[in-house]
Amino acid sequence: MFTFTLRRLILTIPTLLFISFVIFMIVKLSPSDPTGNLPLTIPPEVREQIREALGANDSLIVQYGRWLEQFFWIEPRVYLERTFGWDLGTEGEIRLLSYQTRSPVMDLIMQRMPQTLWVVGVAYLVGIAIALPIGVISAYKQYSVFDQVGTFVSMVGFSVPPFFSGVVVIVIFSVLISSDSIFWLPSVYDTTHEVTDWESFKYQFRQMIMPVMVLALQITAQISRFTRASMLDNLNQDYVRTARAKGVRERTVVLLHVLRNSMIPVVTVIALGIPSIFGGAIITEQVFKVNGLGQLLIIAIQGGDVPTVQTLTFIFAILIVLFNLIADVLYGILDPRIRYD
Amino acid sequence: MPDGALPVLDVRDLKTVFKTRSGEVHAVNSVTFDVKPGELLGVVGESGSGKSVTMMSLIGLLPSPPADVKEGQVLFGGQDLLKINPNDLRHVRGGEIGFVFQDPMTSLNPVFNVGFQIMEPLRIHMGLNKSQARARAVELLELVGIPDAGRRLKDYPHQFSGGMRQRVMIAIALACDPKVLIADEPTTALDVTIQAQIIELVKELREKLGMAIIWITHDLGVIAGIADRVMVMYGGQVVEQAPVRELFGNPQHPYTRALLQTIPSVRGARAEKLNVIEGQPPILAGAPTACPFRDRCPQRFERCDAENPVRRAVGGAGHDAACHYDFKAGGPHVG
Repeated sequence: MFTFTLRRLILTIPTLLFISFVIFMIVKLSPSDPTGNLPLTIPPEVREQIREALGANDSLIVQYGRWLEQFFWIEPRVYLERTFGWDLGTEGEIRLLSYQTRSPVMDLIMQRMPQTLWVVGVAYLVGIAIALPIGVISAYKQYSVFDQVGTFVSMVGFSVPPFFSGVVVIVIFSVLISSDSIFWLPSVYDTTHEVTDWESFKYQFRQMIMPVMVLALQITAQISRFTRASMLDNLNQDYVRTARAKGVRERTVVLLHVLRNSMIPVVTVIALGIPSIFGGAIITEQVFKVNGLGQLLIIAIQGGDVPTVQTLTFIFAILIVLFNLIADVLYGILDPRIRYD
Repeated sequence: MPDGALPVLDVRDLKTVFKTRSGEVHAVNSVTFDVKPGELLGVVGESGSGKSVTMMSLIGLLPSPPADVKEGQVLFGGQDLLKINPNDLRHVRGGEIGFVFQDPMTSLNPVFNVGFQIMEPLRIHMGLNKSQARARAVELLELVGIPDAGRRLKDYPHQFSGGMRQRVMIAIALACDPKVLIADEPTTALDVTIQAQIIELVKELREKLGMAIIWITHDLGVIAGIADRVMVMYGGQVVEQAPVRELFGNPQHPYTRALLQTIPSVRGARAEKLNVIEGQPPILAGAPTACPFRDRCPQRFERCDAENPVRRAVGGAGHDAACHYDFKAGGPHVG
């Protein structure tokens, strides 16, 4: 297992390099201008000078090489220095800067990360926590009322996009319900809000409810369906009959024998979904004005901010590759029939 | 075994019905039989004749719905298994009645090691702690002839061959010293040499442990070799029942006769064509009002369409058959 993981980790290096190059070319070759969002009163010569200063006029290979150096060599050292107080000689080196804000891209990402992790991460956990029991019960009581309702809700979760369900919950909880009711919820997520005491925690909780609800609906729909299908595959297996014939308690049959087998594909799907926590909530973040990573990406795309788009997309790519590996390793741990050595 | 011994398992008038979209399927119709302590009862019949369903009905192994055990009594250890509460039944299952299934490749849980799977019934029914259960599991694996038992407990089912897995299944079924072992086509999925090994093993274990065995199969050759008594099933009913020599020597039901003729002979001239029983097994919709075998029966006459025959004593001791035709007299039974 260890050698397998190591081998796979080494293999990710060329994969990621290739991905970064493809991302760079796509971003760079798309018609966008880093000065496009600036006021129209700026004359073309000045615009040209700005582009020159940003380094956007250098040859593609130089720009790509610079990005590689900044991302893989300068930025890690800067963060190591900050964390441990070492001196690795990054003084005077040019960090990976955003075209729009001229501040380091990694700092922007670090500022946005907590919001995204809080809202989307919590939604993911809530979604899984709801989905697993629903999936298990739906499969065990197939075609019961519970299963039918579960199927309907999943279909809604699958088919209603977050920009619609988000607005619907805003209309219900922020508009129709008067603001002095305890059921009223704020429609705008206040990123500057800090949790210092019980009251502020309650507010944080309230403002998270709606975005979490919208996201969790989607996640629940997917994972509960998946769990249900996987449970159904296993419930009719011969080994389940054997377990019953041994006199195992019905609850143990389902929650130990069947669930353990059913979880193998589900766990890998959950692991593969984790990267989407970082990148997938772009629309929901827009609806609720959560300034997380998704929103950062949208603004960067609109502004032709190549370094930010490139870096964010590449980080998503790293996460996807990494969690693919984790899913494979988990598969091997959960299923004794799979051994990588 | 003494002839007059009380049966360890006594099944009377068992009826199991499956509810389907197109109506009820009467899979088991008034099945009555018993098994004496230490006896090996062979149950034969073609696919869909109700062999497995009967045995699974006894201990509540059929999923309900669609299955419904409607009538009958299953007397075991002084109680009716169809009436006792589910928790007590659970302790009979696996504790006092062991079950071995057909396909050892899929009957073991792939994600648990065999040690866990053998120890499970020990801990549930006998209340053993982990180390006691482990010791007993090693003992059981040695009993069923798995070498290096202590180390193999940690192995997973996929690390065993088919025959070895069936041995593990047998070890699980025997874990709590059951009074009855029900083996549902335990050798069908195995190749012939392994079949022979498993049959030898079961014979040996029966001598050692003395439990009664119900052996379900459609292989008459296997039955001839190991059974004390044979019960032939057709269309969800028991059509004939006799001690093994009597049944093979003097079959009294046209189905049994036809079945015995289908066995190709290895001696004498090679047969040009294999014998078959013409026709299809019956569709079991609705309660039977006529003999289920009538459409394929060479002896069919009017009464067969009008009345479902009940088992009557024929021939030697302990021999009964459900047929209106009397082969000895060469004509219909009188009365």
